[in-house]
Amino acid sequence: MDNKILEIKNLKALVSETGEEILSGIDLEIGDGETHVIMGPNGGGKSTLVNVIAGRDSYEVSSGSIKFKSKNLLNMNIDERSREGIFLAFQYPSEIPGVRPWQFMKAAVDAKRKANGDPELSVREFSKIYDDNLKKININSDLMKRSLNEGFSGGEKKRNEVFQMMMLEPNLALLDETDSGLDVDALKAVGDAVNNLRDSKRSFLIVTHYQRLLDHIKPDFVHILINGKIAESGNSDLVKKIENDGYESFA
Amino acid sequence: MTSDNNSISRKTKLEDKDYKWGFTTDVETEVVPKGLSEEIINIISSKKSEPKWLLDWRLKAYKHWLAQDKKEGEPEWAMVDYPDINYQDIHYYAAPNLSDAPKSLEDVDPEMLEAFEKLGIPLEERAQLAGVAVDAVFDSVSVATTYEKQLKELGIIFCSFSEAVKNHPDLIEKYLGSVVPYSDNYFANLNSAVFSDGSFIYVPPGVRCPIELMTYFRINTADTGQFERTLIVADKDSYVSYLEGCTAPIRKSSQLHAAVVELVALENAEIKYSTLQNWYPGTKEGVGGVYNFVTKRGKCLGKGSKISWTQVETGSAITWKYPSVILQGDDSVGEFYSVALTNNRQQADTGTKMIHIGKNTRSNIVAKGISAGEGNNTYRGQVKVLPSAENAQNFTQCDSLLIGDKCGAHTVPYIEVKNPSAKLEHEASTSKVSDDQLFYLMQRGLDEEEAHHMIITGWSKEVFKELPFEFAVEAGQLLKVSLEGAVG
Amino acid sequence: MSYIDHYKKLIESELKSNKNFYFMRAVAPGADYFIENGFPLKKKGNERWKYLDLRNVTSSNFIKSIYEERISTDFESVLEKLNSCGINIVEDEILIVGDEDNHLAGRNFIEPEGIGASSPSKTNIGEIANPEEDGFIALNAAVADITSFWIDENFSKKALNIVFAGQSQDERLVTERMCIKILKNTEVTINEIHFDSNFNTLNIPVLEIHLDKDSKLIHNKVILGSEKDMNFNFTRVFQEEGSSYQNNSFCHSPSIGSNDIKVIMSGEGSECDLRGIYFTNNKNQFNTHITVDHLAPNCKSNQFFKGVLSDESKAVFSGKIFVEKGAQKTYATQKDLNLLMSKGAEIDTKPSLEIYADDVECSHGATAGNVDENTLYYMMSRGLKKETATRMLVRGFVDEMINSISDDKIRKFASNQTELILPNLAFK
Repeated sequence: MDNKILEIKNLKALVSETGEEILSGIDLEIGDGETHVIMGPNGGGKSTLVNVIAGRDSYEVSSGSIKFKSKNLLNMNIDERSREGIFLAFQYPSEIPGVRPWQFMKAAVDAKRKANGDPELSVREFSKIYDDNLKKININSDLMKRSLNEGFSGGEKKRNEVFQMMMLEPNLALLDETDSGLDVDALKAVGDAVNNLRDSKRSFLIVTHYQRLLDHIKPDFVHILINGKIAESGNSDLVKKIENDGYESFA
Repeated sequence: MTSDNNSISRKTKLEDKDYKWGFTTDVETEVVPKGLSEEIINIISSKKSEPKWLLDWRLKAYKHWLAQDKKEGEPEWAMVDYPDINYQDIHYYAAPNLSDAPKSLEDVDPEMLEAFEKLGIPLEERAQLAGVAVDAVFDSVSVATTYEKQLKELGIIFCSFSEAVKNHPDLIEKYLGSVVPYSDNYFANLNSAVFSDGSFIYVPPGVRCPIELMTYFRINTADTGQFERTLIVADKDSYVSYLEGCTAPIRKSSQLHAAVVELVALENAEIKYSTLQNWYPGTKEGVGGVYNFVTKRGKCLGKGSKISWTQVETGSAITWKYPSVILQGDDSVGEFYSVALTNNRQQADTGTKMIHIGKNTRSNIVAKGISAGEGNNTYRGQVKVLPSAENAQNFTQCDSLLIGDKCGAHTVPYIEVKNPSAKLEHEASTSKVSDDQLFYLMQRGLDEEEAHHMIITGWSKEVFKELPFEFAVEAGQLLKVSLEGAVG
Repeated sequence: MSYIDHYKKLIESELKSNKNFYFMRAVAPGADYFIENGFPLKKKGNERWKYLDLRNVTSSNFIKSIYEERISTDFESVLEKLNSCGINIVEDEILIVGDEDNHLAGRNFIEPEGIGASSPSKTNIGEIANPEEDGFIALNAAVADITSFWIDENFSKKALNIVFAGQSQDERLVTERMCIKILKNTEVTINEIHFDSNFNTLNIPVLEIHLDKDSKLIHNKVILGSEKDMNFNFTRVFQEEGSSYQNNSFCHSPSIGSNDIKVIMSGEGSECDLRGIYFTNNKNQFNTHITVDHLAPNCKSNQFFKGVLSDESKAVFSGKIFVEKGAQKTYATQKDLNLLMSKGAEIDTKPSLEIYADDVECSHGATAGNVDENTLYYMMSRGLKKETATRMLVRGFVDEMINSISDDKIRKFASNQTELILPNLAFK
């Protein structure tokens, strides 16, 4: 018991270009199979936190440490972290002209398998998994014939992010406001997808503004992030408190 | 057309970063002394048993060329630098030593066949499986042609230029120089005087050529300038697609390649011309490599005709090339799709000219430039609408990607409009590969180089999709190989 | 080469007159260059002028205009013209170019607060406008009438108006050279106004502008041409760190001429925004030649020009964005949109990019065509005559540029001028 998949200690991070500090000492531990939710006002550092975990280099870690599966994450490149099992569902997924979603996922899945010493999947094997997952998340397959994210609506992009998460089967999934811009059906689909993926080997860190996603996903822990620090941690009851009192009561 | 995986993989699955096709074959070569003179031109012409009118045409071109001062004659406006070319230090004719042209594959010199093997030219059954007729040009003389019979049944003429001069002199006389006059520019002018061989295609009225026609060019003999001459005539209501793929062996000194390609499309005819150019680019330090100074131009002579150029240019030390279309017939269409890549010390100044003369003529330009290493890549294009071209339309899009801080990307479009009913739009952008896109792909586990490659190939797709399928696959691989080491 | 001989004499006589030797560093190379090369008439390698027929420039042996000759006959009309811009000679800061009496020549006028004549030893003539760049600039340098001044934070007027009054004689050459230094932290508007004169004159004004650190200049330029005059207008700008330069040009083509602007962004974090509209009609030829050199990182530039062409006129736009090695984080855009209104009119546009740094975002676009058929149809279906609808659309096209002129007086003036120009354009 008590295997920590992610251990963040006194993490400080700033915007590389301007030097502005966004994270001012974060301490966070996530255990195997746990689902954590981070809430907080705009500009509090929620998005920055998940991007720093994923290794985005427009942020600079000025002090502290992040350990993932007991390994020093800060020594790893973006792609190494991904192959190690970290997945970030982007708030604003990039549009990549000329790159088909299928081709992209095949390359990503193979890259991970290769890193684990597994053989590449045959086209047939891969296609089966691909089509099954598409069906589960209910994405229009015509959409997936376009270039990656090009001409996708906001909701379609988010579904595509969750679809990619299902394909890559990460150990830690970071969801950066995946629920924003979703209608009721899409929200439920995303919630179901996450719930289906929840097991003892997979943890979630979910950034959200709204309580409504939490109607579908029951978190183990909730954290309030204000001014680059975790102001309070607790269980789902904390959400009720936010509903009633707003964030100001935590500041 | 079916895919031929064997030939593709041979050409593209490459293990190290250096130029993969750097070998020379040891075939006896008949070489005319270096230098250029009336006498040399006489020798070239008589070796080919050419009619007098053609010799006269060559000599006229030669005199015109000679009358120009080299400094005044060579185009100075292109953004390329190269050492002084000594035109008297070049062999203007080289032919494999074959007293009789081979009549079948069995007659072909085995060592030459082996060379073709290495180049991945599917000369034998594979060619037929792939549905490709190959007119393989080895240095200057055409040595083998397949599919000729089948094409003959349809009335399609696909042969070497020399053969066409012998067997179809009236067609040659009618169209030679009709698109690119001998006096056109310094290099085309030189070519008109000394051209060795090339391909000739004639597609009769109403015939749709059922296969992609393909020619491989290859520079082989040391210090031999190659002066190909290609002429394609598509008669009324016909269609032909022509592919050209190139590799060249490593040579110590630079090699001048001044080819001329002329296309003529009559009423409602369509010509599609695709090029994959991967000649020796020189060393990383910029030593050697091919000077690719080529004049390619098509004329949409007939109403409703269409000419489409697609090129993927990754090779050569210097590329100077502007495949163009003269839109003379009403309702005719001109297209240009290009990906040009420069790495290390390569220089490319390439683009197109669309000259609108007829009514309702349309042209479309998509040009992608990739600069890496210390390469310089220039898009230079001209869209001209003459007063007669009522309702002419052009859309141009040219995008450049920069990889690294030592390269250059330049865009020089000339838009000249003399008719108020014209509609022209030009868009261009220059940037590096987006950090957001890279982060996204790398977050999914692709390493930096792979992520770059995927983004760049995707970005080039608008052009690649105009290529026949196996060329498109090969083109993506070529980009990857050519960019190795440029990223990260 | 007889015309060069003519100017050689002119140059020699100018050199004999009492020129301050501090100016010689610009004058001498200009003289040498012009005597050797003359006007840029050569076809080969002449990218800047390749589309224009410059032969008229050599058709007369122009002699230097003397200020008295202009102003004594024409002063009233200058005042009248200024009035039409809403500029009042008493209230506004006016510099009538060539006026020996104006304050900047340091005689009778009292210098307004915030402006001072640069001492000859400190002038930077020729430092920004390289006399060897172009035959016109060279001739200007060789025989220039030089005004050199600085403006600092204490300048409190809304704008400094520099008025080129126009000519009253044929075959006159005007070669004004202004060297303007905007000192640190200063924000100022300069309105440069060229009135037309219906005389065969050759105007080659050159402005050299140096922007010190964190200064800001709004430069409104109005060029009004006639069927007879020629105006080759050059602006050369040098930007230091954090400075900002805005140019709004309103040009009605002279018989032949140019609006030639080059901005050298030498200091990090500087910005420039160049906009303009050009009208050409009759058989006029007009060249808009814009160059922005990004030499330092983190600079931002914009070029946005529009043309309305009618009759058998010809307009040329050649814009260039140049990004030097190491000028990372450059953001540069360029756009040239043209309306071709009649058969016989010609636009040659060449928006080019030359880029040697990779972390940049540069884009350009150009269009040429007539007013949109669908819009025209829509308007006509609402009962408008084709001509009215067309003019309305052109007006809308032009207004986007006029509305971005921040100086109220010049904006109104440009708007009024547009009303006068549009009916003279043949829309067919």
